[in-house]
Amino acid sequence: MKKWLIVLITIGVVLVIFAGWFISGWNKVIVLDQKVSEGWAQVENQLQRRIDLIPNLVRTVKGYASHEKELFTRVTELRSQWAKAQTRGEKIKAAEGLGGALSRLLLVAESYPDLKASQNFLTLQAQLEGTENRIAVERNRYNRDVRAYNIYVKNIPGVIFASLRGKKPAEFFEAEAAAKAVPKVEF
Amino acid sequence: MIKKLILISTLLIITANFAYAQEEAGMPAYRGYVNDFANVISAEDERTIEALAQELETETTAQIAVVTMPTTKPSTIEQYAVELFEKWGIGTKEKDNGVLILMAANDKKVRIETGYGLEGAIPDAIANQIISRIMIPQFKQGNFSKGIVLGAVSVAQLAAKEYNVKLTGAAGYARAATVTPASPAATLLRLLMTLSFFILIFGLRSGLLFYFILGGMGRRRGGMWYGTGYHGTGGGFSGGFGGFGGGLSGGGGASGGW
Repeated sequence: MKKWLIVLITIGVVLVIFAGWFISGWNKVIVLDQKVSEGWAQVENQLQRRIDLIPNLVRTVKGYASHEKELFTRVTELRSQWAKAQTRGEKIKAAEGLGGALSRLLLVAESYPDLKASQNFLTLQAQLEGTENRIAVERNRYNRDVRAYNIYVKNIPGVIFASLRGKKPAEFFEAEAAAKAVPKVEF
Repeated sequence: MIKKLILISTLLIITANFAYAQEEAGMPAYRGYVNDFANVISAEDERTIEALAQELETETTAQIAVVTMPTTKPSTIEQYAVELFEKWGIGTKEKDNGVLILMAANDKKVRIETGYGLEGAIPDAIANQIISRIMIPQFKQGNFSKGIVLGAVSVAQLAAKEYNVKLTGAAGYARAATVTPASPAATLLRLLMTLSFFILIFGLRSGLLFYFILGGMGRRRGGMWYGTGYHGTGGGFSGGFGGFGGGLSGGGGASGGW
């Protein structure tokens, strides 16, 4: 009688532990995946903020450097590419192109002293710098979340739960060389 | 017997769930609102800033941290600022209404990092103006202490304005710490910034909504387990500095060098 009770309790405890482990794994995939999605939402917010600065920036630069047509077309092109982008991968690609084009635009401004000195341009430049920094911060946090998520879903036991819930490893957003070298204003 | 076993197994399960908490090393601990690690702020100015920051927190819950370092290397000042902000948790957790003024004396760099909740009150362009027109000119003349006080007063005024509060402290500095009125174009841009700020807040909100629905851990609130907790002052008593409240920033603000 007593032995029988002990065996039953042991089985019960093992079951409880197993259930706890299963539930936590089952949930952890979703919790980590959710963090990645929220991180991506933040990245997208900041990328959108950069996009919103473009019309003003282009207008301002155009006023002083109207013959840099090629660059303006390129920026406009990339902007519509961003608007059309659906998947995370497409958006990352569009954002990388834009980062490069915008830093070129700022570089061009260097050769127009009137433009460089205009209050409008200085304000825009400060905002663009702030936005680039925000993008860098959110991108880092996003990549941090992706790393945590990917490590989990690529290893045992996470890989089991991930396949049970139909989750795939997430995509990193690597810093593009052009955006890393954001032109700086010297005072 | 049975109860004990159930208790033990429950505990085991709970500890297993707490497995992920992250710590960042290599960051100093804070001493107060003012953390003059580079020893450039005079005792009097330090008291002025402490009192003003205390007044600001009592009136609005917003928090200011002033930090001087010899250097932030190997990190850039931007990276260091955002990490320090996250580690200390400047501002309240609910509103993210903190501001960090970070100065690296040997690097000759200064940064104003605004918390998510104050990005509307202190837009990047304004932060830039505070740095380039108020702080840098003082730094260039070697008046580090004065430049920092003026910067802090200016930031505090903007934060207080957001809450429709007028600060009484540091009145002697108030005039010199006011950024010149913005041009119409700048006002327009400010409007644009405010708009994107709302978009940002909306994004955050919807993120939080998900968090509640799923009952998971909050995004980026890995700091939950080592945070100092919320020490909001009731406003009735004149207590000292009670620690930062878990606020977060996202790279907003501006930097400059001299």
